Amino acid sequence: MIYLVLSFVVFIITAVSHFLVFRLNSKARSMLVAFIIYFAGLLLDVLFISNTRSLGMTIPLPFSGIILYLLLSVAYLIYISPVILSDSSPSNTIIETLLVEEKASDRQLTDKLTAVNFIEKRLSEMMRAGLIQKNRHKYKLTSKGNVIARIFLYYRALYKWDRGG
Amino acid sequence: MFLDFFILINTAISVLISLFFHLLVFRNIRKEKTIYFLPLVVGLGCIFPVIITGSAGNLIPQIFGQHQPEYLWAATINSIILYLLSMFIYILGVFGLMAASVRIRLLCDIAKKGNEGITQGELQQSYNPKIIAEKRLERLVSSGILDYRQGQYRLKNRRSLFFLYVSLILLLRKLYTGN
Repeated sequence: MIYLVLSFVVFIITAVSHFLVFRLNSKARSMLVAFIIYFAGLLLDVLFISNTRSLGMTIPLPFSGIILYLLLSVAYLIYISPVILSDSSPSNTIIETLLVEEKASDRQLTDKLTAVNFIEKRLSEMMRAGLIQKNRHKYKLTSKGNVIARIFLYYRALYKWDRGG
Repeated sequence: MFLDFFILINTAISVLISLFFHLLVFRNIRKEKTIYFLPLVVGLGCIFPVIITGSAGNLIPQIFGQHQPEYLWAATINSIILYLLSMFIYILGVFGLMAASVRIRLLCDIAKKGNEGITQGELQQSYNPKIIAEKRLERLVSSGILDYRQGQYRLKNRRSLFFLYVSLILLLRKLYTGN
């Protein structure tokens, strides 16, 4: 079990390091910087684990330890990506509004979501990411966007999910 | 080293079986109940690593060698931890995108128009802030997280996993950005 505890400790150290870099350097607030820091953590984890093996533990689980670090890092990065990207989902916006205002009507909540304008924001983000292109006021998919859209259309059909969003 | 590989294989098989059940359940329930059923389906899936480890220990006792009870516990606990993390990643990174992502919804709507293309106005005829709000509120009320009375929405269940999930993000945002 020492390998898993070690990997967990390395993950915590990496998360704290990323937090400090994020707070202290506003230019480092990107997913790329986060990936680099967590990758450095992975190397540290492998280094520690390869040295721990020589101690002759009764239950040697080096690969499980490394996989634990990887899964923890990926899960945490997906979870805090809205924070890193200064983004918020519609559901989060609704809950946040109700936490502040105790109660709200349909109209108030719709106005709140209209103010953020998720549609325009997401279309701009997808254009920047090269998933869609705008031609004579019309949006079309790029080849990259087409691959992703086809995967999700197939995936939706598998779940009998006519429309998401 | 054998135990190490056993844990990884056990996790992979458990995730695959669980994904199969996940597919079966979510093909047949009302979409608004998704938030309610997600933790249930993932939680019940923890039984798979236990069954696989128990079966392996019973059918081929020699695979865990002389440290059998100790190794059985290690294999079970570690497989459950890795299984839960894998499912968390799947739900947040794949299933969640399909079910609720505004980006994926728009991407699929644009894909359906093919080479013809679609204007923002046309997109917003079938998907706009009002529809986004309606869908979220319907899901949150059906899942028992919000309460709707006399034309007003209120937070109902502050102990639900979804509420904890959102609260933790808001707390992290405060910690990371100070806002």
